[in-house]
Amino acid sequence: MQSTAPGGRHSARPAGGPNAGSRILAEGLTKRFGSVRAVTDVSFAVEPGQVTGFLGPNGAGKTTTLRMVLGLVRPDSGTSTVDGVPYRDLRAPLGTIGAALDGTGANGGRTGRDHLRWVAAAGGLPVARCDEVLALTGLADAGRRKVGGYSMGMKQRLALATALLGDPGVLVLDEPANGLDPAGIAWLRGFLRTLADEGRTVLVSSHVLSEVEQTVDHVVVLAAGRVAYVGDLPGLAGPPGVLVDSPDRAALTTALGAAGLGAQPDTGGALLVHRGPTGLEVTAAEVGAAAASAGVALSHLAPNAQRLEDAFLRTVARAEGGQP
Amino acid sequence: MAAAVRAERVKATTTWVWWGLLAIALALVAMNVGLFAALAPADAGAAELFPLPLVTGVDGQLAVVGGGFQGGYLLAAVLGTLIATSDHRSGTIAPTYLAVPRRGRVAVAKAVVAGGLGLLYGVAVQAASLVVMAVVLTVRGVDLVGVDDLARPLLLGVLGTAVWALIGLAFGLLVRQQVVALVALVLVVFLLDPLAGFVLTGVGEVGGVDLEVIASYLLTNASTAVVEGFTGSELLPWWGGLLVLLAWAGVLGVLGWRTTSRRDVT
Repeated sequence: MQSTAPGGRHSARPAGGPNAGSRILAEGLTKRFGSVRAVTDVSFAVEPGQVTGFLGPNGAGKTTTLRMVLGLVRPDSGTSTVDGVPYRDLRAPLGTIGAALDGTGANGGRTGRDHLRWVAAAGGLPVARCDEVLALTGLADAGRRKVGGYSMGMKQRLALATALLGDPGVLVLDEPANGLDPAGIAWLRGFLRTLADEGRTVLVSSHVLSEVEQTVDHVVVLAAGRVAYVGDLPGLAGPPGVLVDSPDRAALTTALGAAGLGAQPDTGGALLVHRGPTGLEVTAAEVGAAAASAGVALSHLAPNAQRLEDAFLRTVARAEGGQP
Repeated sequence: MAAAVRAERVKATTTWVWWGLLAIALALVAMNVGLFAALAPADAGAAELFPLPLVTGVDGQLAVVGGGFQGGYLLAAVLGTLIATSDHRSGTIAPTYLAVPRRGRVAVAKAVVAGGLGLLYGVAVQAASLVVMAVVLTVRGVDLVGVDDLARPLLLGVLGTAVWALIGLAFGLLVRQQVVALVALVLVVFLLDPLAGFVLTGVGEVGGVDLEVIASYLLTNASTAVVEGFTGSELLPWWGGLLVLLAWAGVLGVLGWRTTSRRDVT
């Protein structure tokens, strides 16, 4: 099992230390709720020392999958393990894997600190740890107030504090950025980065790619209950394209074809240029030259800054359409 | 297991529920026992108006404190139901099972805590019943019978209250939706069970089967038997009543456990 942080990054803790994460492994997870196929044959691995994004639109089956990993939902078939052990058989679950699920999981009539107190008691952890995680998540001053009066962002922080109680090597966070303001999201990014750099395994779900784009090393994309993509972000984006448009689209397409370039309408309305099947990078200069040599006037020419989001949406759309 | 129990204890004692319900229980006791002690007949003439055992005797005074027991066990049952269902209502069921993935341990821990708080309710309610009765009877100039005559029913009432907390817990495990569970509980305790007892006792014997015997196994009658309280129909001995209540808690608890142990937490 590899537990070193990715090369070049500073690791705050020695690899293989007490907080080195374990691998999450899901194999063939399948779940139906009545006649609804929520999750079908989902397999993936989440490695230590990285932040893995678990992406997909609402209703893609992310939460159901995470709940199967955490032993809350029983799969119809398939298995999931943390360090080779199913969640329900973990000896010290809170010290192995910490989870923050969508919705806080705290009773509004209890103070934040009391919420942490009972969870700590259930995990056999000292009460002092409650104050530590409150401070760690910026809730030190709010700990003795009732959760019912917390803002959405504070509830997310409390959920994160709960996940951190046992100082686990693995963290599973379901939509942790929901309800956070921009400053909160920036804080969360840094926080997740630090956790991963300490060698922990971090799995974070989101339906908004841009929320996690700057943080994740690896992604698992889920769509319509199936895995649509597993890999790194550049792989998901594919080679960067160029967006181009002209009042005379037909002439532009012909000119691009003559230069050995392919083009297809982009979600934004312009043409997205790529280099046929070779997958090599296309530059804006190249596209401009091809148009100029054919005497086609351009109305738009720009590198495709949106390519990752586009690629994400295309991947999802393809999976939802049932195509391979 | 000890950790799970500690967690459930912290959970049960960090909201207003446990002391709020206890306060309601004590208010019910003051009202029930106070009124009963004030109105219970002290001589044969008054007994014609209120067909109850004379409050000057042991049976009469047991009937009076038994009124407090009824209020206490209802609230103990409500507490048990809330201990079982509030995790589902507030969403704390996910962190509960995340910390203690063996759901059987969670259910047992809840039973330990509900039973313990039930004992506490029982002590408070029975003590309050005795005090309220003593005060009212003293005002009326009626002597309290010897403590020896009241001790056993009072102590058994403490146990009975704890068993009722378990019955309420089992109700909550079985139904899970808090409001539905509470409505069902109150409906059964206040309406269906007493009504069934009334009907069975009224019909008497059918085809050689004495329905009044069956009626004595119902929740209300078994509870009355535990504290040797007063009722119009035939009752089990105190130990029989206690066993019957335990059996109800056990059967409902097993059913509740079966429905809750494999259910998905979504």
